[in-house]
Amino acid sequence: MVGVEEVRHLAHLARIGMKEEELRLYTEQINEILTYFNMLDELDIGNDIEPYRMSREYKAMRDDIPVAFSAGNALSNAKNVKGRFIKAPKMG
Amino acid sequence: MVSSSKIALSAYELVEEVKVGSISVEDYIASMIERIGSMDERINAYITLNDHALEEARMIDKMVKGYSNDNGSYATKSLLGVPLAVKDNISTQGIRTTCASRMLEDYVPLYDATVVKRLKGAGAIVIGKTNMDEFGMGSTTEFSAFGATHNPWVYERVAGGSSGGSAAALAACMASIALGSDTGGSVRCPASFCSIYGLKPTYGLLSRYGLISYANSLECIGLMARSVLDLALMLKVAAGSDMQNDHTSIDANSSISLDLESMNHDLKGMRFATIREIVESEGTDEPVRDSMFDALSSVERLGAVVEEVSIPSLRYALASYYTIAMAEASSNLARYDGVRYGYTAQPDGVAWNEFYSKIRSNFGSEVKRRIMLGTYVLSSGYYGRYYMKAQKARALIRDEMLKVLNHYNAIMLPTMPILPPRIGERISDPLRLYMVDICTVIANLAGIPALSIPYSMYNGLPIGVQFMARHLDEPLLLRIAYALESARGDKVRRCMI
Repeated sequence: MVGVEEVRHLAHLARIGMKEEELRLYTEQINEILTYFNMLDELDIGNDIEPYRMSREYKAMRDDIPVAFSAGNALSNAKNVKGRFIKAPKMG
Repeated sequence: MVSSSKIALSAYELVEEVKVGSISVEDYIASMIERIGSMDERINAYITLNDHALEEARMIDKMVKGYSNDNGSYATKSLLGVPLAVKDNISTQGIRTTCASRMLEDYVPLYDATVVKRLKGAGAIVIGKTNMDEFGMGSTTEFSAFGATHNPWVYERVAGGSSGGSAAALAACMASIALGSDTGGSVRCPASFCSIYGLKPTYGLLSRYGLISYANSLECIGLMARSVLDLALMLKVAAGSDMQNDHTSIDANSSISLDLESMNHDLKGMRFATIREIVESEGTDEPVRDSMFDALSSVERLGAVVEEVSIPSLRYALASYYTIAMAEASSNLARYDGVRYGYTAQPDGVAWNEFYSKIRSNFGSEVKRRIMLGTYVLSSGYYGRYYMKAQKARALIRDEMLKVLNHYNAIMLPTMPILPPRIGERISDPLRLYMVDICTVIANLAGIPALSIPYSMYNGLPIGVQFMARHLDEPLLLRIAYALESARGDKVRRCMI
Protein backbone atom coordinates (compact mmCIF):
# COMPACT_ATOMS: atom_id res chain seq x y z
CA MET A 1 0.00 0.00 0.00
CA VAL A 2 1.23 3.48 -0.77
CA GLY A 3 0.29 6.51 1.32
CA VAL A 4 -0.28 10.14 0.33
CA GLU A 5 3.33 11.03 1.20
CA GLU A 6 4.68 8.32 -1.07
CA VAL A 7 2.45 9.54 -3.91
CA ARG A 8 3.67 13.09 -3.25
CA HIS A 9 7.22 11.76 -3.67
CA LEU A 10 6.25 9.97 -6.90
CA ALA A 11 4.75 13.21 -8.24
CA HIS A 12 8.04 14.92 -7.40
CA LEU A 13 10.07 12.20 -9.16
CA ALA A 14 7.85 12.50 -12.25
CA ARG A 15 7.91 16.32 -11.97
CA ILE A 16 4.15 16.67 -12.07
CA GLY A 17 2.70 19.48 -9.98
CA MET A 18 -0.32 18.25 -8.02
CA LYS A 19 -2.96 19.72 -5.74
CA GLU A 20 -3.79 18.04 -2.42
CA GLU A 21 -7.15 16.72 -3.61
CA GLU A 22 -5.47 15.22 -6.69
CA LEU A 23 -2.89 13.51 -4.46
CA ARG A 24 -5.67 11.95 -2.37
CA LEU A 25 -7.55 10.71 -5.44
CA TYR A 26 -4.40 9.29 -7.05
CA THR A 27 -3.39 7.56 -3.80
CA GLU A 28 -6.70 5.71 -3.79
CA GLN A 29 -6.56 4.81 -7.48
CA ILE A 30 -2.89 3.84 -7.48
CA ASN A 31 -3.50 1.48 -4.55
CA GLU A 32 -6.39 -0.14 -6.34
CA ILE A 33 -4.35 -0.65 -9.52
CA LEU A 34 -1.23 -1.89 -7.66
CA THR A 35 -3.38 -4.39 -5.75
CA TYR A 36 -4.40 -5.74 -9.14
CA PHE A 37 -0.77 -5.81 -10.36
CA ASN A 38 0.15 -7.79 -7.24
CA MET A 39 -1.20 -10.90 -8.95
CA LEU A 40 2.16 -11.01 -10.74
CA ASP A 41 3.57 -12.13 -7.36
CA GLU A 42 1.70 -15.43 -7.54
CA LEU A 43 3.14 -16.21 -10.96
CA ASP A 44 5.49 -19.13 -10.51
CA ILE A 45 8.11 -18.29 -13.08
CA GLY A 46 11.53 -19.33 -12.01
CA ASN A 47 14.79 -18.08 -13.41
CA ASP A 48 14.45 -20.40 -16.38
CA ILE A 49 12.21 -17.84 -18.10
CA GLU A 50 14.09 -14.95 -19.59
CA PRO A 51 12.31 -11.62 -19.39
CA TYR A 52 10.97 -10.51 -22.78
CA ARG A 53 13.42 -8.48 -24.85
CA MET A 54 12.46 -7.04 -28.22
CA SER A 55 15.96 -7.11 -29.60
CA ARG A 56 15.75 -10.86 -30.01
CA GLU A 57 14.02 -10.55 -33.36
CA TYR A 58 14.33 -7.15 -34.89
CA LYS A 59 17.44 -5.39 -35.95
CA ALA A 60 18.35 -2.76 -38.49
CA MET A 61 21.28 -0.41 -38.22
CA ARG A 62 21.82 2.71 -40.28
CA ASP A 63 24.60 5.19 -40.64
CA ASP A 64 24.25 8.09 -38.25
CA ILE A 65 23.76 10.88 -40.76
CA PRO A 66 22.44 14.15 -39.32
CA VAL A 67 19.33 15.71 -40.89
CA ALA A 68 19.72 19.47 -41.10
CA PHE A 69 16.84 21.81 -40.34
CA SER A 70 17.24 25.56 -40.77
CA ALA A 71 17.44 27.46 -37.48
CA GLY A 72 14.06 29.02 -38.22
CA ASN A 73 12.46 25.62 -38.74
CA ALA A 74 14.19 23.99 -35.80
CA LEU A 75 13.00 26.76 -33.49
CA SER A 76 9.50 27.04 -34.97
CA ASN A 77 7.84 25.16 -32.11
CA ALA A 78 9.69 26.96 -29.31
CA LYS A 79 8.03 30.04 -27.81
CA ASN A 80 10.70 31.49 -25.54
CA VAL A 81 13.19 32.25 -28.29
CA LYS A 82 15.95 34.82 -28.10
CA GLY A 83 17.89 35.13 -31.36
CA ARG A 84 19.12 31.65 -32.25
CA PHE A 85 18.61 30.39 -28.69
CA ILE A 86 15.78 28.99 -26.60
CA LYS A 87 15.35 30.51 -23.17
CA ALA A 88 14.93 27.95 -20.38
CA PRO A 89 14.50 28.29 -16.61
CA LYS A 90 17.68 28.29 -14.57
CA MET A 91 19.00 24.99 -13.32
CA GLY A 92 19.19 24.07 -9.66
CA MET B 1 -20.52 18.39 -55.55
CA VAL B 2 -20.35 14.63 -55.29
CA SER B 3 -23.43 12.57 -54.33
CA SER B 4 -23.62 10.87 -50.95
CA SER B 5 -23.44 7.43 -52.58
CA LYS B 6 -20.10 8.44 -54.14
CA ILE B 7 -18.83 9.71 -50.80
CA ALA B 8 -19.36 6.19 -49.44
CA LEU B 9 -17.25 4.54 -52.17
CA SER B 10 -14.48 2.27 -51.04
CA ALA B 11 -10.96 3.52 -51.71
CA TYR B 12 -10.32 1.08 -54.55
CA GLU B 13 -13.57 2.05 -56.29
CA LEU B 14 -12.73 5.72 -55.89
CA VAL B 15 -9.23 5.27 -57.34
CA GLU B 16 -10.67 3.57 -60.43
CA GLU B 17 -13.04 6.48 -61.01
CA VAL B 18 -10.32 9.06 -60.42
CA LYS B 19 -7.98 7.36 -62.89
CA VAL B 20 -10.55 7.32 -65.71
CA GLY B 21 -11.45 10.90 -64.92
CA SER B 22 -15.08 10.26 -63.97
CA ILE B 23 -14.60 11.87 -60.55
CA SER B 24 -12.77 15.14 -59.96
CA VAL B 25 -10.63 14.82 -56.86
CA GLU B 26 -11.18 18.49 -56.09
CA ASP B 27 -14.97 17.97 -56.08
CA TYR B 28 -14.58 14.85 -53.99
CA ILE B 29 -12.40 16.46 -51.33
CA ALA B 30 -14.61 19.58 -51.30
CA SER B 31 -17.69 17.40 -50.75
CA MET B 32 -15.99 15.54 -47.96
CA ILE B 33 -14.92 18.75 -46.25
CA GLU B 34 -18.51 19.98 -46.53
CA ARG B 35 -19.74 16.72 -45.05
CA ILE B 36 -17.30 17.07 -42.14
CA GLY B 37 -18.55 20.64 -41.66
CA SER B 38 -22.13 19.46 -41.34
CA MET B 39 -21.59 16.29 -39.29
CA ASP B 40 -18.52 16.64 -37.16
CA GLU B 41 -19.93 19.12 -34.69
CA ARG B 42 -21.89 16.18 -33.25
CA ILE B 43 -19.34 13.40 -33.75
CA ASN B 44 -16.10 15.28 -32.96
CA ALA B 45 -13.88 12.95 -34.97
CA TYR B 46 -11.46 15.63 -36.16
CA ILE B 47 -9.16 17.92 -34.20
CA THR B 48 -7.56 19.68 -37.20
CA LEU B 49 -8.32 19.73 -40.94
CA ASN B 50 -5.61 19.99 -43.59
CA ASP B 51 -5.81 23.51 -45.09
CA HIS B 52 -3.96 22.30 -48.19
CA ALA B 53 -6.18 19.31 -49.01
CA LEU B 54 -7.99 21.07 -51.87
CA GLU B 55 -4.73 22.32 -53.34
CA GLU B 56 -3.34 18.75 -53.29
CA ALA B 57 -6.56 17.51 -54.91
CA ARG B 58 -6.24 20.04 -57.74
CA MET B 59 -2.69 18.83 -58.42
CA ILE B 60 -3.95 15.26 -58.82
CA ASP B 61 -6.72 16.39 -61.19
CA LYS B 62 -4.07 18.14 -63.28
CA MET B 63 -2.00 14.94 -63.43
CA VAL B 64 -4.98 12.89 -64.57
CA LYS B 65 -5.87 15.45 -67.26
CA GLY B 66 -2.25 15.40 -68.44
CA TYR B 67 -1.64 19.06 -67.50
CA SER B 68 1.41 18.27 -65.40
CA ASN B 69 4.72 16.76 -66.36
CA ASP B 70 4.54 13.59 -64.27
CA ASN B 71 4.78 11.42 -67.42
CA GLY B 72 1.68 9.47 -66.50
CA SER B 73 3.12 8.14 -63.24
CA TYR B 74 -0.26 8.77 -61.58
CA ALA B 75 -1.52 5.57 -63.20
CA THR B 76 0.69 3.53 -60.86
CA LYS B 77 -0.49 5.28 -57.70
CA SER B 78 -2.77 2.88 -55.86
CA LEU B 79 -4.38 5.45 -53.53
CA LEU B 80 -4.77 8.28 -56.03
CA GLY B 81 -7.00 10.99 -54.58
CA VAL B 82 -8.10 8.94 -51.56
CA PRO B 83 -8.99 11.04 -48.47
CA LEU B 84 -6.94 9.78 -45.53
CA ALA B 85 -7.67 10.54 -41.86
CA VAL B 86 -4.59 10.43 -39.62
CA LYS B 87 -4.64 9.91 -35.87
CA ASP B 88 -3.29 12.95 -34.10
CA ASN B 89 -0.26 11.17 -32.61
CA ILE B 90 1.21 10.51 -36.07
CA SER B 91 3.46 13.29 -37.37
CA THR B 92 2.29 15.26 -40.39
CA GLN B 93 4.60 17.91 -41.80
CA GLY B 94 3.05 21.34 -41.48
CA ILE B 95 -0.20 20.05 -39.93
CA ARG B 96 -0.74 20.50 -36.18
CA THR B 97 -0.27 17.24 -34.27
CA THR B 98 -1.56 17.44 -30.70
CA CYS B 99 -1.86 13.87 -29.34
CA ALA B 100 -5.18 15.30 -28.06
CA SER B 101 -3.16 16.91 -25.28
CA ARG B 102 -2.90 20.48 -24.00
CA MET B 103 0.84 19.77 -23.80
CA LEU B 104 1.07 19.74 -27.61
CA GLU B 105 -1.92 21.91 -28.50
CA ASP B 106 0.04 24.01 -31.02
CA TYR B 107 2.83 21.62 -32.03
CA VAL B 108 3.51 21.46 -35.79
CA PRO B 109 5.89 18.66 -36.91
CA LEU B 110 8.73 19.37 -39.29
CA TYR B 111 8.45 16.01 -41.03
CA ASP B 112 5.97 13.31 -42.04
CA ALA B 113 5.90 9.91 -40.35
CA THR B 114 7.26 7.27 -42.74
CA VAL B 115 3.84 5.62 -43.09
CA VAL B 116 2.19 8.98 -43.90
CA LYS B 117 4.94 9.70 -46.44
CA ARG B 118 4.37 6.33 -48.11
CA LEU B 119 0.57 6.74 -48.31
CA LYS B 120 0.93 10.29 -49.65
CA GLY B 121 3.45 8.98 -52.19
CA ALA B 122 0.76 6.58 -53.41
CA GLY B 123 -1.60 9.52 -53.96
CA ALA B 124 -3.56 9.68 -50.69
CA ILE B 125 -4.58 13.13 -49.43
CA VAL B 126 -4.45 13.79 -45.69
CA ILE B 127 -7.85 15.31 -44.97
CA GLY B 128 -7.33 15.88 -41.28
CA LYS B 129 -6.04 14.77 -37.89
CA THR B 130 -8.33 12.74 -35.70
CA ASN B 131 -9.34 12.76 -32.07
CA MET B 132 -7.99 10.20 -29.61
CA ASP B 133 -7.39 9.51 -25.96
CA GLU B 134 -4.55 11.77 -24.87
CA PHE B 135 -1.24 10.19 -26.02
CA GLY B 136 -3.20 7.01 -26.84
CA MET B 137 -4.01 6.26 -23.22
CA GLY B 138 -7.59 5.03 -23.08
CA SER B 139 -10.19 2.80 -24.70
CA THR B 140 -13.03 5.26 -25.31
CA THR B 141 -11.66 8.56 -26.77
CA GLU B 142 -13.07 10.36 -23.75
CA PHE B 143 -9.64 11.26 -22.31
CA SER B 144 -9.09 13.95 -24.96
CA ALA B 145 -8.32 17.61 -24.30
CA PHE B 146 -10.64 18.29 -27.27
CA GLY B 147 -13.73 16.49 -25.90
CA ALA B 148 -15.04 12.96 -26.48
CA THR B 149 -15.69 11.48 -29.91
CA HIS B 150 -19.27 10.20 -30.31
CA ASN B 151 -20.13 6.91 -31.98
CA PRO B 152 -21.72 7.70 -35.37
CA TRP B 153 -24.08 4.71 -35.05
CA VAL B 154 -25.42 5.73 -31.61
CA TYR B 155 -24.43 9.24 -30.59
CA GLU B 156 -24.64 8.76 -26.82
CA ARG B 157 -22.18 5.87 -26.96
CA VAL B 158 -18.38 6.07 -27.15
CA ALA B 159 -16.57 5.43 -30.44
CA GLY B 160 -13.96 3.29 -28.68
CA GLY B 161 -10.35 4.23 -28.31
CA SER B 162 -7.83 5.35 -28.41
CA SER B 163 -8.12 5.81 -32.22
CA GLY B 164 -11.82 6.75 -31.86
CA GLY B 165 -11.68 9.76 -34.20
CA SER B 166 -10.26 7.72 -37.08
CA ALA B 167 -12.88 4.98 -36.66
CA ALA B 168 -15.79 7.43 -36.34
CA ALA B 169 -14.59 9.45 -39.35
CA LEU B 170 -14.55 6.27 -41.46
CA ALA B 171 -17.91 4.97 -40.23
CA ALA B 172 -19.53 8.34 -40.97
CA CYS B 173 -17.85 8.59 -44.40
CA MET B 174 -15.81 11.61 -43.39
CA ALA B 175 -12.70 9.83 -44.77
CA SER B 176 -12.12 6.82 -47.05
CA ILE B 177 -9.21 5.24 -45.18
CA ALA B 178 -7.56 6.04 -41.85
CA LEU B 179 -4.46 5.54 -39.75
CA GLY B 180 -4.58 4.76 -36.06
CA SER B 181 -2.10 3.41 -33.56
CA ASP B 182 -2.46 0.26 -31.49
CA THR B 183 -0.61 -0.18 -28.19
CA GLY B 184 -3.08 -2.54 -26.51
CA GLY B 185 -6.05 -2.53 -28.87
CA SER B 186 -6.38 1.14 -29.82
CA VAL B 187 -7.09 0.40 -33.50
CA ARG B 188 -9.18 -2.73 -33.01
CA CYS B 189 -11.42 -1.46 -30.20
CA PRO B 190 -12.78 1.58 -32.07
CA ALA B 191 -12.93 -0.46 -35.29
CA SER B 192 -15.20 -2.93 -33.49
CA PHE B 193 -17.35 -0.23 -31.85
CA CYS B 194 -17.77 1.67 -35.16
CA SER B 195 -18.23 -1.36 -37.46
CA ILE B 196 -15.15 -1.01 -39.66
CA TYR B 197 -11.95 -3.04 -40.21
CA GLY B 198 -8.96 -2.37 -37.95
CA LEU B 199 -5.58 -4.05 -38.43
CA LYS B 200 -2.79 -4.12 -35.86
CA PRO B 201 0.12 -5.33 -37.98
CA THR B 202 3.02 -7.53 -36.86
CA TYR B 203 5.34 -5.48 -34.64
CA GLY B 204 8.01 -4.15 -36.98
CA LEU B 205 6.08 -4.49 -40.24
CA LEU B 206 5.21 -0.77 -40.38
CA SER B 207 7.71 1.88 -39.41
CA ARG B 208 7.03 3.71 -36.16
CA TYR B 209 9.12 6.68 -37.30
CA GLY B 210 7.00 9.77 -36.68
CA LEU B 211 4.57 8.00 -34.34
CA ILE B 212 4.79 9.98 -31.10
CA SER B 213 5.96 7.46 -28.52
CA TYR B 214 3.86 6.14 -25.68
CA ALA B 215 4.98 2.50 -25.18
CA ASN B 216 7.54 1.62 -27.86
CA SER B 217 7.79 -2.12 -27.34
CA LEU B 218 4.03 -2.58 -27.74
CA GLU B 219 2.74 0.07 -30.13
CA CYS B 220 2.31 -0.06 -33.91
CA ILE B 221 0.73 2.22 -36.48
CA GLY B 222 -2.49 0.45 -37.50
CA LEU B 223 -4.64 0.55 -40.63
CA MET B 224 -8.40 1.20 -40.73
CA ALA B 225 -10.82 0.81 -43.65
CA ARG B 226 -14.43 0.07 -44.59
CA SER B 227 -13.55 -2.88 -46.83
CA VAL B 228 -10.99 -5.70 -46.88
CA LEU B 229 -9.64 -4.68 -50.28
CA ASP B 230 -8.99 -1.15 -49.02
CA LEU B 231 -7.09 -2.58 -46.08
CA ALA B 232 -4.98 -4.69 -48.45
CA LEU B 233 -4.25 -1.65 -50.65
CA MET B 234 -3.08 0.32 -47.61
CA LEU B 235 -0.96 -2.52 -46.28
CA LYS B 236 0.84 -2.98 -49.58
CA VAL B 237 1.83 0.68 -49.56
CA ALA B 238 2.53 1.17 -45.85
CA ALA B 239 4.51 -1.99 -44.99
CA GLY B 240 8.24 -2.38 -45.20
CA SER B 241 11.53 -1.76 -43.51
CA ASP B 242 12.67 1.77 -42.75
CA MET B 243 16.18 2.76 -41.77
CA GLN B 244 14.68 5.53 -39.63
CA ASN B 245 13.18 2.89 -37.33
CA ASP B 246 15.52 0.18 -36.14
CA HIS B 247 12.66 -2.10 -35.17
CA THR B 248 11.24 -2.68 -38.63
CA SER B 249 11.58 -6.25 -39.86
CA ILE B 250 14.21 -6.48 -42.54
CA ASP B 251 12.50 -9.28 -44.40
CA ALA B 252 9.00 -7.80 -44.21
CA ASN B 253 8.81 -6.68 -47.84
CA SER B 254 9.53 -10.10 -49.21
CA SER B 255 7.14 -11.87 -46.84
CA ILE B 256 4.01 -9.97 -47.71
CA SER B 257 2.10 -10.92 -50.80
CA LEU B 258 -1.44 -9.71 -51.05
CA ASP B 259 -3.13 -10.97 -54.13
CA LEU B 260 -6.70 -10.78 -52.90
CA GLU B 261 -8.21 -11.31 -56.32
CA SER B 262 -6.86 -14.84 -56.40
CA MET B 263 -7.91 -15.61 -52.87
CA ASN B 264 -10.31 -18.40 -52.12
CA HIS B 265 -13.69 -17.38 -50.82
CA ASP B 266 -13.69 -20.28 -48.44
CA LEU B 267 -11.66 -21.31 -45.42
CA LYS B 268 -11.24 -25.00 -46.22
CA GLY B 269 -8.38 -26.64 -44.38
CA MET B 270 -8.08 -23.81 -41.83
CA ARG B 271 -7.83 -24.54 -38.13
CA PHE B 272 -8.77 -21.83 -35.65
CA ALA B 273 -8.50 -21.78 -31.86
CA THR B 274 -10.68 -19.91 -29.40
CA ILE B 275 -9.41 -19.27 -25.90
CA ARG B 276 -11.58 -20.70 -23.14
CA GLU B 277 -10.42 -18.21 -20.47
CA ILE B 278 -11.74 -15.30 -22.52
CA VAL B 279 -14.88 -16.72 -24.12
CA GLU B 280 -16.16 -18.11 -20.83
CA SER B 281 -15.14 -15.06 -18.75
CA GLU B 282 -17.85 -13.37 -16.69
CA GLY B 283 -16.58 -10.08 -18.11
CA THR B 284 -17.83 -10.97 -21.60
CA ASP B 285 -21.29 -9.53 -22.36
CA GLU B 286 -23.93 -12.04 -23.50
CA PRO B 287 -24.61 -10.38 -26.90
CA VAL B 288 -20.85 -10.38 -27.58
CA ARG B 289 -20.62 -14.09 -26.74
CA ASP B 290 -23.65 -14.83 -28.96
CA SER B 291 -22.09 -12.90 -31.82
CA MET B 292 -18.81 -14.76 -31.33
CA PHE B 293 -20.59 -18.15 -31.50
CA ASP B 294 -22.45 -17.00 -34.61
CA ALA B 295 -19.13 -15.99 -36.23
CA LEU B 296 -17.74 -19.36 -35.22
CA SER B 297 -20.59 -21.10 -37.08
CA SER B 298 -19.95 -18.86 -40.09
CA VAL B 299 -16.29 -19.82 -40.38
CA GLU B 300 -17.21 -23.49 -39.90
CA ARG B 301 -19.71 -23.19 -42.77
CA LEU B 302 -16.85 -21.78 -44.85
CA GLY B 303 -14.85 -24.92 -44.15
CA ALA B 304 -12.73 -24.04 -41.09
CA VAL B 305 -12.40 -26.21 -38.01
CA VAL B 306 -12.62 -24.38 -34.68
CA GLU B 307 -11.40 -25.81 -31.38
CA GLU B 308 -11.19 -24.44 -27.88
CA VAL B 309 -7.80 -24.16 -26.17
CA SER B 310 -6.69 -23.01 -22.74
CA ILE B 311 -3.91 -20.46 -22.11
CA PRO B 312 -3.78 -20.18 -18.31
CA SER B 313 -1.08 -17.47 -18.31
CA LEU B 314 -3.55 -15.04 -19.89
CA ARG B 315 -4.75 -14.37 -16.35
CA TYR B 316 -1.63 -12.19 -16.05
CA ALA B 317 -1.95 -10.46 -19.42
CA LEU B 318 -3.49 -7.19 -18.22
CA ALA B 319 -1.19 -6.81 -15.21
CA SER B 320 1.82 -7.49 -17.44
CA TYR B 321 0.61 -5.21 -20.24
CA TYR B 322 -0.26 -2.23 -18.03
CA THR B 323 2.93 -2.51 -15.97
CA ILE B 324 5.07 -2.44 -19.13
CA ALA B 325 2.99 0.24 -20.91
CA MET B 326 3.05 2.55 -17.89
CA ALA B 327 6.79 2.05 -17.33
CA GLU B 328 7.53 2.92 -20.95
CA ALA B 329 5.11 5.88 -20.82
CA SER B 330 6.77 7.38 -17.76
CA SER B 331 10.08 7.33 -19.60
CA ASN B 332 8.78 8.49 -23.01
CA LEU B 333 6.72 11.36 -21.63
CA ALA B 334 9.63 12.77 -19.61
CA ARG B 335 10.55 14.74 -22.74
CA TYR B 336 7.62 17.16 -22.29
CA ASP B 337 9.39 19.94 -20.43
CA GLY B 338 7.87 22.99 -22.11
CA VAL B 339 11.24 24.21 -23.38
CA ARG B 340 11.61 23.25 -27.05
CA TYR B 341 7.95 22.77 -28.02
CA GLY B 342 4.47 22.41 -26.59
CA TYR B 343 2.76 24.06 -23.67
CA THR B 344 5.04 26.49 -21.87
CA ALA B 345 5.24 29.41 -19.46
CA GLN B 346 7.52 32.40 -18.92
CA PRO B 347 10.87 30.94 -17.71
CA ASP B 348 12.43 34.11 -16.29
CA GLY B 349 13.19 33.89 -12.59
CA VAL B 350 11.66 30.40 -12.24
CA ALA B 351 13.72 27.44 -10.99
CA TRP B 352 13.98 24.41 -13.28
CA ASN B 353 12.10 21.88 -11.12
CA GLU B 354 9.32 24.31 -10.33
CA PHE B 355 8.93 25.21 -14.02
CA TYR B 356 9.01 21.57 -15.12
CA SER B 357 6.40 20.49 -12.52
CA LYS B 358 4.11 23.39 -13.36
CA ILE B 359 4.22 22.73 -17.12
CA ARG B 360 3.60 19.02 -16.61
CA SER B 361 0.58 19.57 -14.38
CA ASN B 362 -1.22 20.18 -17.71
CA PHE B 363 -1.24 16.52 -18.66
CA GLY B 364 -4.75 15.02 -18.43
CA SER B 365 -5.79 12.80 -15.53
CA GLU B 366 -5.21 9.42 -17.20
CA VAL B 367 -1.77 10.41 -18.49
CA LYS B 368 -0.75 11.61 -15.00
CA ARG B 369 -2.02 8.35 -13.49
CA ARG B 370 0.03 6.25 -15.92
CA ILE B 371 3.20 8.34 -15.55
CA MET B 372 2.94 8.07 -11.73
CA LEU B 373 2.38 4.30 -11.81
CA GLY B 374 5.14 3.86 -14.38
CA THR B 375 7.49 5.83 -12.16
CA TYR B 376 6.53 3.57 -9.25
CA VAL B 377 7.06 0.22 -11.02
CA LEU B 378 10.48 1.36 -12.24
CA SER B 379 11.59 2.81 -8.92
CA SER B 380 14.24 1.25 -6.74
CA GLY B 381 12.79 -1.59 -4.69
CA TYR B 382 9.80 -2.21 -6.95
CA TYR B 383 11.53 -2.77 -10.30
CA GLY B 384 12.08 -6.49 -9.65
CA ARG B 385 8.65 -7.03 -8.16
CA TYR B 386 6.64 -5.38 -10.92
CA TYR B 387 8.57 -4.52 -14.07
CA MET B 388 10.79 -7.61 -14.31
CA LYS B 389 7.91 -9.92 -13.33
CA ALA B 390 5.77 -8.25 -16.01
CA GLN B 391 8.47 -8.86 -18.63
CA LYS B 392 8.75 -12.51 -17.59
CA ALA B 393 4.96 -12.86 -17.78
CA ARG B 394 5.13 -11.29 -21.24
CA ALA B 395 7.69 -13.87 -22.38
CA LEU B 396 5.52 -16.68 -20.99
CA ILE B 397 2.31 -15.39 -22.63
CA ARG B 398 4.10 -14.87 -25.91
CA ASP B 399 5.54 -18.39 -25.89
CA GLU B 400 2.16 -19.94 -25.07
CA MET B 401 0.42 -17.94 -27.80
CA LEU B 402 3.03 -18.96 -30.37
CA LYS B 403 2.67 -22.59 -29.32
CA VAL B 404 -1.07 -22.39 -30.00
CA LEU B 405 -0.32 -20.79 -33.37
CA ASN B 406 1.99 -23.70 -34.19
CA HIS B 407 -1.07 -25.94 -34.17
CA TYR B 408 -3.67 -23.53 -35.50
CA ASN B 409 -3.71 -21.00 -38.35
CA ALA B 410 -5.31 -18.30 -36.24
CA ILE B 411 -6.80 -17.48 -32.86
CA MET B 412 -10.40 -16.26 -32.93
CA LEU B 413 -11.79 -13.99 -30.21
CA PRO B 414 -14.24 -11.18 -29.66
CA THR B 415 -12.51 -7.82 -30.25
CA MET B 416 -14.08 -6.22 -27.20
CA PRO B 417 -15.81 -8.16 -24.41
CA ILE B 418 -18.43 -5.44 -24.02
CA LEU B 419 -20.80 -3.39 -26.17
CA PRO B 420 -19.86 0.28 -26.69
CA PRO B 421 -20.54 1.96 -23.31
CA ARG B 422 -22.46 5.21 -22.88
CA ILE B 423 -20.31 8.32 -22.82
CA GLY B 424 -19.28 8.96 -19.20
CA GLU B 425 -20.28 5.47 -18.04
CA ARG B 426 -16.79 4.05 -17.43
CA ILE B 427 -14.43 6.99 -17.29
CA SER B 428 -14.36 7.43 -13.49
CA ASP B 429 -13.14 3.90 -12.70
CA PRO B 430 -9.69 3.41 -14.29
CA LEU B 431 -9.17 -0.23 -13.31
CA ARG B 432 -12.59 -1.26 -14.61
CA LEU B 433 -11.77 0.49 -17.88
CA TYR B 434 -8.42 -1.38 -18.18
CA MET B 435 -10.25 -4.73 -17.84
CA VAL B 436 -12.00 -4.38 -21.20
CA ASP B 437 -8.65 -4.61 -23.04
CA ILE B 438 -8.24 -8.32 -22.23
CA CYS B 439 -8.98 -9.60 -25.76
CA THR B 440 -6.64 -7.16 -27.48
CA VAL B 441 -3.48 -6.65 -25.35
CA ILE B 442 -2.32 -10.23 -25.91
CA ALA B 443 -1.48 -9.54 -29.58
CA ASN B 444 0.67 -6.56 -28.53
CA LEU B 445 2.43 -8.59 -25.83
CA ALA B 446 3.22 -11.28 -28.42
CA GLY B 447 3.97 -8.87 -31.30
CA ILE B 448 1.63 -10.80 -33.62
CA PRO B 449 -0.83 -9.32 -36.14
CA ALA B 450 -4.53 -9.02 -35.26
CA LEU B 451 -7.54 -7.88 -37.27
CA SER B 452 -10.93 -6.72 -36.04
CA ILE B 453 -13.68 -7.55 -38.52
CA PRO B 454 -17.12 -5.89 -38.31
CA TYR B 455 -19.48 -8.78 -37.72
CA SER B 456 -22.91 -8.05 -36.28
CA MET B 457 -25.25 -5.52 -34.69
CA TYR B 458 -27.09 -5.82 -31.38
CA ASN B 459 -29.85 -3.24 -30.90
CA GLY B 460 -28.02 -0.93 -33.29
CA LEU B 461 -24.65 -1.41 -31.54
CA PRO B 462 -21.77 -2.83 -33.62
CA ILE B 463 -19.93 -5.99 -32.52
CA GLY B 464 -16.62 -7.08 -34.06
CA VAL B 465 -14.81 -10.39 -34.19
CA GLN B 466 -11.04 -10.63 -34.00
CA PHE B 467 -8.43 -12.95 -35.53
CA MET B 468 -4.76 -13.18 -34.54
CA ALA B 469 -2.13 -14.95 -36.64
CA ARG B 470 1.56 -15.81 -36.70
CA HIS B 471 4.15 -13.08 -37.22
CA LEU B 472 3.90 -11.57 -40.73
CA ASP B 473 0.82 -13.65 -41.58
CA GLU B 474 -1.30 -10.59 -42.42
CA PRO B 475 -2.30 -12.18 -45.77
CA LEU B 476 -4.08 -14.95 -43.83
CA LEU B 477 -6.01 -12.39 -41.74
CA LEU B 478 -7.10 -10.60 -44.91
CA ARG B 479 -8.15 -13.89 -46.47
CA ILE B 480 -10.33 -14.72 -43.45
CA ALA B 481 -11.88 -11.25 -43.54
CA TYR B 482 -12.46 -11.50 -47.28
CA ALA B 483 -14.17 -14.88 -46.92
CA LEU B 484 -16.42 -13.55 -44.15
CA GLU B 485 -17.16 -10.35 -46.08
CA SER B 486 -18.05 -12.33 -49.20
CA ALA B 487 -20.29 -14.71 -47.24
CA ARG B 488 -21.95 -12.06 -45.13
CA GLY B 489 -23.69 -10.12 -47.85
CA ASP B 490 -25.46 -7.13 -46.32
CA LYS B 491 -25.48 -8.42 -42.77
CA VAL B 492 -23.50 -5.42 -41.55
CA ARG B 493 -24.13 -1.88 -42.70
CA ARG B 494 -20.61 -0.93 -43.60
CA CYS B 495 -21.13 2.74 -43.68
CA MET B 496 -23.49 5.36 -42.30
CA ILE B 497 -24.77 7.68 -45.00
